[in-house]
Amino acid sequence: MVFSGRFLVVALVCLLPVVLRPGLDTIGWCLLALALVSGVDLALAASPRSLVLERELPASSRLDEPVANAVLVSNRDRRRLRGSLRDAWQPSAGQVSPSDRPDAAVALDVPAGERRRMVTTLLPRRRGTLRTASVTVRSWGPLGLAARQVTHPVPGQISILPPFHSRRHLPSRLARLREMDGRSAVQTRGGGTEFDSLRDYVRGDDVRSIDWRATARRQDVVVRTWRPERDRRVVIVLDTSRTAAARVDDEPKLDTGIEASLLLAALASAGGDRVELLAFDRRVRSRVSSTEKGNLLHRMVTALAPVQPTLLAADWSHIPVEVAKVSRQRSLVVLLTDLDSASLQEGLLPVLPALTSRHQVVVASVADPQLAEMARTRNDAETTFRAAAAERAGLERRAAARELEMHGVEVVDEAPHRLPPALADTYLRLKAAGRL
Amino acid sequence: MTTSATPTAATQRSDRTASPSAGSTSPASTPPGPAVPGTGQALSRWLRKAWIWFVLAALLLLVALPSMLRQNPDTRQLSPSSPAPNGGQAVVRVLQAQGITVHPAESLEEALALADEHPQAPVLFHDAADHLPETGLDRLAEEVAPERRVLVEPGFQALGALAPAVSQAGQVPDGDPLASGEGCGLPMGREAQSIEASGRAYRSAEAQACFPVPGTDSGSTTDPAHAVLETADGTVVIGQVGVFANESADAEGHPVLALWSLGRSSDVVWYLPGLADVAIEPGPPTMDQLLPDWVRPAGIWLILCLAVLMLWRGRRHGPLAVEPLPVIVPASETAVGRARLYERSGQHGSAARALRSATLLRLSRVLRLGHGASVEAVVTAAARTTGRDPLQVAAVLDVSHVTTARDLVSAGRALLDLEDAVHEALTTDHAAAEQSSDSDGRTP
Repeated sequence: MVFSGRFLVVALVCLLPVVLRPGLDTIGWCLLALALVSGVDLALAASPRSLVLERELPASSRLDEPVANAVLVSNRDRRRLRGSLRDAWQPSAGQVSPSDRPDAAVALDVPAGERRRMVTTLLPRRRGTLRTASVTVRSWGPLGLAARQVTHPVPGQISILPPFHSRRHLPSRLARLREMDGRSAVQTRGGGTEFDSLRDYVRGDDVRSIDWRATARRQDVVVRTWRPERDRRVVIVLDTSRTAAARVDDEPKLDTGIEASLLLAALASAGGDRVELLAFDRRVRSRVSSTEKGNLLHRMVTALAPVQPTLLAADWSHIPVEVAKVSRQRSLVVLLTDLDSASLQEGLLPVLPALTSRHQVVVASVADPQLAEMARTRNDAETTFRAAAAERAGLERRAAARELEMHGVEVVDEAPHRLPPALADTYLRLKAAGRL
Repeated sequence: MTTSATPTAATQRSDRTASPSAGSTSPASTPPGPAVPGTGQALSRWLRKAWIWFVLAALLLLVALPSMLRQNPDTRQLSPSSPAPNGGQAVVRVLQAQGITVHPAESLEEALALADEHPQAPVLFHDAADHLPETGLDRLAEEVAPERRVLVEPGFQALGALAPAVSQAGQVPDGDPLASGEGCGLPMGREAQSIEASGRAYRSAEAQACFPVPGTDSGSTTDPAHAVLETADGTVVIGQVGVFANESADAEGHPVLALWSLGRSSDVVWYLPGLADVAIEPGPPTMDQLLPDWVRPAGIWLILCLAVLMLWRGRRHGPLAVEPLPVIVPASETAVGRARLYERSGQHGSAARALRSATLLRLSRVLRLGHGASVEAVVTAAARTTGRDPLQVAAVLDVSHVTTARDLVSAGRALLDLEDAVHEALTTDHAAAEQSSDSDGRTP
């Protein structure tokens, strides 16, 4: 049962008889009158229990995109239902109703035997699976004094996919890939090591690429063209352990890692390479392969949507085995993890030789711009100590990166918005150099 | 709000197929019913779930009701309705059995009205706590004739007003029952023969007295103390409340005294002054008396309105939504923690060394000196780029003297200034710097 402000006004009006004729009996009569009026109002209200509610909700949506959340309300009662409806989405779903009420309730007016489509907008603020358990309906009586309220268990859920903001970097990288591929107008030697075709010499071609034997057979000068190797393997290992839970620039490191791996996967699959993705902490959380059917990117975002960082340390000893499972030949292994020296020393470094002996390894890590900010603030003793601590952390990261580089590992350590393109560039560089 | 109306249930199917459904809910062949039970069903379910509480409440009511209905038992001394040891019910019952009606009175007004109504009835007066003030005693003395008064253990004031000829003679010492005595001129005293020894004793010069208290007749100046007296104008004074109390009503000659003193008429006024007789000093008027009489009910009503307000504003539109909160770890937390450790343990030197190492590393990279560049090489290159004195640059990069927080802050700032100066020199005079570095052949 719900009371309205109008009921309060009626109660306050009852103050008049109480003042004019003081006494406990007047109070009793007023109470009785209020109970009677609200009881009649309640009895005349349409039953919120007789509603049939259905959901219309897409199965998934990308983060930062508005989602229309529709509830179909069929009134099976003989009375017109006036009231409101609230869908109990979890707060991070960012539900907004047209009435701008804080609980995102929408006004409801369904005549007897008819159906209405109530729509609210979801502006999800977090990646993952968002849920709602119930829809609560309020039905006001004709006087608007009291209402009946019933909660219908109508569960719903939507999978919010990673946004892939870094796809704006994709066209320029694809253009570079095509340059290497020899498909675009600019032909440069070193765009790969795999022999592609012979063609006539045009001015500007590298004289070193002239194929003298072919030239001898024909009257014209003929050059060889190369293209990058195809059908190489790219294994992306996404660390979902506790280091990935740290927030840099108000974004978990895991989300930055997902952005980077999406860009890399899009680029690599466009470059004709096979992409394998492993989300991993102590066990494999998610696994996607480009050899399966369907759009690789869509499968990746769907697989990565529910992955959240765990509060466990990663168990790197499984990684060589897992990599060997997905790829027997030499591959590019990209480890999206943190350059935290302690976890690196204990976890990754012991198993690194097993990886570097067979594969080209790239370690990509999210650097914290806040540390750089801290290192430059030296106003008093406290901030200077902080600057020193930040510098020390930076030195340690650099030392860890140096140690990895000594193992033959490429290290990419960039701020969150810079990491995806930097990783893509590293891939292109390695591919151009034929080190895949 | 977006609402698309569908007129009747008959067109629902077509509407459903026409609506741009995302296919999350598959339309069933039969229209689904409500997800919650109907009103009647819900009520019966609730009753089924809550019946045990109803039963418990009924049991509780059954047990508590009789004791709630029973009136608070009157436990005052000599109360005509009290069956307690000190009550007066036994005597009252006996009197009633003899056809004598006992009229209990709680207040002076009541007693006077009853005495007026039954002009022949004796008035039993017992006021152990002296509830009745002097003015009340005077009124009682005026209205009730002396021969009708039966005073049980009267106090000083009561004696002064109702039996002025009698005075107090202290307590009766415990001991053997008192005998009526040789000089007893009262027929009921002689008949009773003995009473228990307790209560008060009285003396009077001109009254008929019985039951002398032993040991009080030695003096010649004062009369001996007695337990039962009857003054010349007929007022009976009984110094023994036990004569009328339940526990000792049948002891010794108590029944004789009780029935003879009270059984003179067909009615008895049984007056036990209570709290109603206590005169209350009319102090300053209270808030209640000053305020108009509607203020209190209006206040009660406003409290009720407040409850309605709380119900109105506090009612949630359905249950709370649960948010599974993610793990949140601020990335720079460890660095801040380490800074506090430095500060607490006073590690000014190592903090300064960290700042210096980072500056050196950055300078060697900016000045393109390569990984393993020595400090001297960095000093020379930085001095040349900025145009500063090499000794001054070396001094900035020497942090061995830092021991206090002040030193640390100034050293940190100097290092930052040096870096900024190098950056500025490189960016403003970029071409020149490029050229010079090219000519030096330091490009890796």
